[in-house]
Amino acid sequence: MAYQIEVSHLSKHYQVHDKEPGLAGSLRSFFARKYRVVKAVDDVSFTIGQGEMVGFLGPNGAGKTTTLKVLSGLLYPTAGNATVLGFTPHQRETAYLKQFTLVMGQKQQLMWDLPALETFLVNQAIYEIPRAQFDATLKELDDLLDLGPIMKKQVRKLSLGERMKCELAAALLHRPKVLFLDEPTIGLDVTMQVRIRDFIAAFNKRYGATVILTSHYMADVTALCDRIIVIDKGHLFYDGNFRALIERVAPYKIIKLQLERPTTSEVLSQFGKVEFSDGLTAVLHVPRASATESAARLLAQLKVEDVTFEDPPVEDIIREVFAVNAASNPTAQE
Amino acid sequence: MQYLKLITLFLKANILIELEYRANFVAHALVSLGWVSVTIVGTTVFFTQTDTIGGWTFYETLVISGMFTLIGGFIQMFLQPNVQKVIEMVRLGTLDFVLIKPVNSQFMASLRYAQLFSGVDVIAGGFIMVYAMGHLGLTPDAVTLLLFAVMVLMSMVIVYSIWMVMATFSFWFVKVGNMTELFNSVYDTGRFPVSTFQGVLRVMLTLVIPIAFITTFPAQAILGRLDAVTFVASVVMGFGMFVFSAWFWRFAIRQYSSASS
Amino acid sequence: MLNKYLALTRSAWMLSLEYRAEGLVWMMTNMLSIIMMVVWMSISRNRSVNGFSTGDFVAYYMVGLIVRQFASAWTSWEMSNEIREGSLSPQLLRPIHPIHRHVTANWAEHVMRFVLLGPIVLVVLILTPDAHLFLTPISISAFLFSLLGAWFITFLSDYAIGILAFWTSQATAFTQAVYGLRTVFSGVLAPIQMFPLVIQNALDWLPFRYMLAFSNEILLGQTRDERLLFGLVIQWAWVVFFFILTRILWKLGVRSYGAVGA
Repeated sequence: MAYQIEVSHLSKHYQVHDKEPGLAGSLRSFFARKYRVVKAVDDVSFTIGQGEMVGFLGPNGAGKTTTLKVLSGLLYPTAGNATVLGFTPHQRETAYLKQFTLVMGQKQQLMWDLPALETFLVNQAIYEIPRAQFDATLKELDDLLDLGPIMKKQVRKLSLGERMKCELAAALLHRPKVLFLDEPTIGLDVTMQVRIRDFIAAFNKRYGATVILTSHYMADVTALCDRIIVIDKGHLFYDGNFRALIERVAPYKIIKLQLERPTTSEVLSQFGKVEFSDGLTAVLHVPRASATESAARLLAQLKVEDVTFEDPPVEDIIREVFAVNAASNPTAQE
Repeated sequence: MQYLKLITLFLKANILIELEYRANFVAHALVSLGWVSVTIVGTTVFFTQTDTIGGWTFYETLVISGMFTLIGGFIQMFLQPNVQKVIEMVRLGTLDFVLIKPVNSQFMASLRYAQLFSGVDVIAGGFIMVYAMGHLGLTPDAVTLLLFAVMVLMSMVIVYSIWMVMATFSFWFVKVGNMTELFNSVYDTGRFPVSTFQGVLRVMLTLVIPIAFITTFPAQAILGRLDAVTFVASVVMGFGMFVFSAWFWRFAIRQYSSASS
Repeated sequence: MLNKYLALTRSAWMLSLEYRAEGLVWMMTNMLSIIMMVVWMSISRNRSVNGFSTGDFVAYYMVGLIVRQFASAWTSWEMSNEIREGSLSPQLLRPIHPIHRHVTANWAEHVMRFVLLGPIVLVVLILTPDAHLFLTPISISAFLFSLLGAWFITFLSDYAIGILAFWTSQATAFTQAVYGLRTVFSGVLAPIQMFPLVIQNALDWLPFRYMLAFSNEILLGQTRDERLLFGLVIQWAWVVFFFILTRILWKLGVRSYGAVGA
């Protein structure tokens, strides 16, 4: 089998009604509603092979979640095709439903008033997981996620991070071959984000599962995915190697400086492009290729109290991608 | 059997939840008893002014009151909690988790939750019926009991279907809660024999919102006054409504899949 | 203050327009009254029942629809939700007491429903041959005054129950229990005159009758002169009682809510 997921010319359009502001507007839309077609996904194509981990990037409302929902069989495509594991998702065949999972960071399937273990047992029955396999999988998930102390506590008493661990476990008990993870780390603190990220990587390695991940956190995507797919306003803007994209649109690193004594922009500009400076603090953009060398030079020449090196935030990169794309292909922007 | 196992698990989960909220039990038992007395006081007030309502005497009407309380308990116990949950899941988008499961989604959506302490009403309803039957000096034979059992089952299937249809509306409307309120108030007509109502109203209560099938007809069965036509009509109505509710649910999910994002 | 009220009413109004099918559906929850009317009509078809002719029952329940429409409240549901979900907390910080938002929401719905219900009631009253109303300047003004009293009792008592949600998650169980009592004793199930005398006498002193039946009786000319004056005094005494009760409960409630730190 060449590809596990194949999407060709996929579109998903739907209608919304607009509410006009004000009392008169309310009255008007009470009698005659105006509808507008929203193109959540528009002519998107890509293929994903077995065991690949792919990051979906794009601003809010770009169509990432809609695409995942189409692949999960929750939505019918308006046009185009999607095939996952040889199945057409929206036909929702039992055989397909048993082989993938969908995790939504902002929504939960666990029963709120009961320990997560109860949800696990329900899922065991739903997916018809044999007893031995269930025990073995749970044991492995326990090793990876350290569920022992938390799965017997009521879900509502768990912290957000603990709850997410249980959500993941509940979603993975049937050892799905394909994982759709929609913002799995949203709202978690940095340590827990790393924890979840490591888990996803480990699960992918151990079971060879294919993963599509959407996230707001650049770090999630950089740590997990070599390949990214960027979507905005329903259009596919970029599909390929993540490093290559960064090199192309954001070929710089960000250096944040806390200086011991006031330093002018002119002095700073010999190390890189000055984005911000108020004498004692400054933000510089330095070319990625020469970042280490610039940093060394900077530390040697200036009295620095504190310095941090960062990748450009994912939102900025995406914005750059869109800017580049709009410039090269103005019709793409409606 | 997978579905049997699921039902057992759901039941276990519900018992655990209720043990969790023990305080609920007392509050709800009191509310239940309150409503049972409303039903009885209501019926009694009418009979201080008249001997029969729609051709039914006090104790005969009380049998209907019992049936009304019993089915009311059934609604509170199984239908209300699940329908509320469906509405909530549609609003929050967590219904997606139900739809991606390899199990019939209507089964999952309608049998998952139960408010077991509403069993108080079911029992109270049974008591009222036994009490009224005692005063009428009636002892039903095996055939009557069997007919009654079928009629009660059909009654439950019919209310189940009505509630499922209402839940399904939540795919399109935001505040379906009002619709269940509407049903509850129409259901109130079930306290009285359907013959109390005249003309269009009676036709509506028999055919459109078939309250007659829910309380009056089963009461007729236990009183030994059931005719063949009513019996067959009940069975047909039960199956028909069930099939419709299942079709409507699937239709709504198709709509949901094609019209939302 | 007036400006704040206008602004709040405006937004509540827009909200009630937003859910268009709602108004109609809610109106139909008055079905219980209509059902009871029909049952009493069937009983009184051939003879008057305790002085009520069929037309009297129609008049009683039609006026009742208007009164019930006006004197209805569902704030306790909203409040217990808001308190449980914590969305009440930010409102406590606003320079306006949350009760005013609830009051305007209540009014906005009334206007909506009255527009829909008023004409229907009028038509039914005109078309029913012997549905007579007792319309004199005194009875009309007393009716309007009693209507206001009925609204205050209903809204404030419901609000008091809503406040209980600060302490217990079972506040809505109270709402249901009170709703049940109200259904029987306020005159929805049967006009008060249908009850045994002992109950009638007790109901003179309890708040239930003043939420509905009292106003109906005024407009049907069944309660006049000293009885009317007596009723109004008792009704407004209950208004004052619930006013003070909600104030005290609110103070205590907010304090214990703050203590938990929710």
